[in-house]
Amino acid sequence: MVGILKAIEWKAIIEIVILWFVIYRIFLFLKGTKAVYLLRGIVILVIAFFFFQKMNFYVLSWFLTKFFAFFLILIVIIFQPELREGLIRLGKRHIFYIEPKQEEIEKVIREIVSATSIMSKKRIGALIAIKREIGLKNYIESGVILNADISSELLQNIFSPPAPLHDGGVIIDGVKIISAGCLFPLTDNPNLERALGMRHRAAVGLSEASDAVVIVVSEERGTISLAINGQLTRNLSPSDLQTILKGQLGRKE
Amino acid sequence: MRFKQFKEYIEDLSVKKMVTNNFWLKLVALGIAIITWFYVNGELTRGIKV
Repeated sequence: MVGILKAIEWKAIIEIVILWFVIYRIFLFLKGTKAVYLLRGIVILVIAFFFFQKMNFYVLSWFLTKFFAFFLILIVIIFQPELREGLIRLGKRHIFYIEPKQEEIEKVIREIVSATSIMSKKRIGALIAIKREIGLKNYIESGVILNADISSELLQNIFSPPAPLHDGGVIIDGVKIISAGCLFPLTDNPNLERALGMRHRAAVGLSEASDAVVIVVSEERGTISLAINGQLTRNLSPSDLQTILKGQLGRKE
Repeated sequence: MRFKQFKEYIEDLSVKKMVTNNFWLKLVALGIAIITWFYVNGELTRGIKV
């Protein structure tokens, strides 16, 4: 115990804080992506490795040591897209990101719900993604950058055919419509109803690949659906949507 | 305008929110960071002694 306390000096605390920050950022980056399942497997193997070492199980430790050496190369190959995006983001991240205020968030939700409700009545198909912590840079760049203040009218305008951007998705970050006409990844979830169209598949796909909240308005039925973490909630009323969005996007005090 | 926003952001910062937001993720990351530090530190110290 005394040895541990001696070891904890100010340099150690700084080192632990930096380590904690890096690990936390990696967790945030992987949260909500498929890579998290692989990470769980790695954590189990690492725990097993420490256990085998502690218990002096030399043969099993040897196997795991050899496996880890090979696994490092495997990780670089498997996580290649995530590593590339992560390194790019590391250089571009705003340290002092200014989070929108509660009243601004409420205004954004009001405008989105109003637009969604009108488009649902008029049977105009829409796909709106609201960015949270995980970056959507790849998808933003697949569309047309707008960087415009959110308004119900602008959202309706974007999705009303034959507007050039009506077929893609819109990405909202904070109080701005960042990009429109964006291409989202399609889900390969076999449990999703076959009758669902590409818009719904794209919404679920993006919610699997990131922590974004994705709203879909069906062109055929005019129903409103919401995809979060790969789960699709269908047939929402505008008031349901408003309640869920407040819970998902509101500032946690 | 940007400075005003930044000032409001600083005034609005709450320690409680900073801790409770993604609390479990932060806690697990802290646990792993401490374990990693002690493991590596132990390995390095052992190396120096040899």
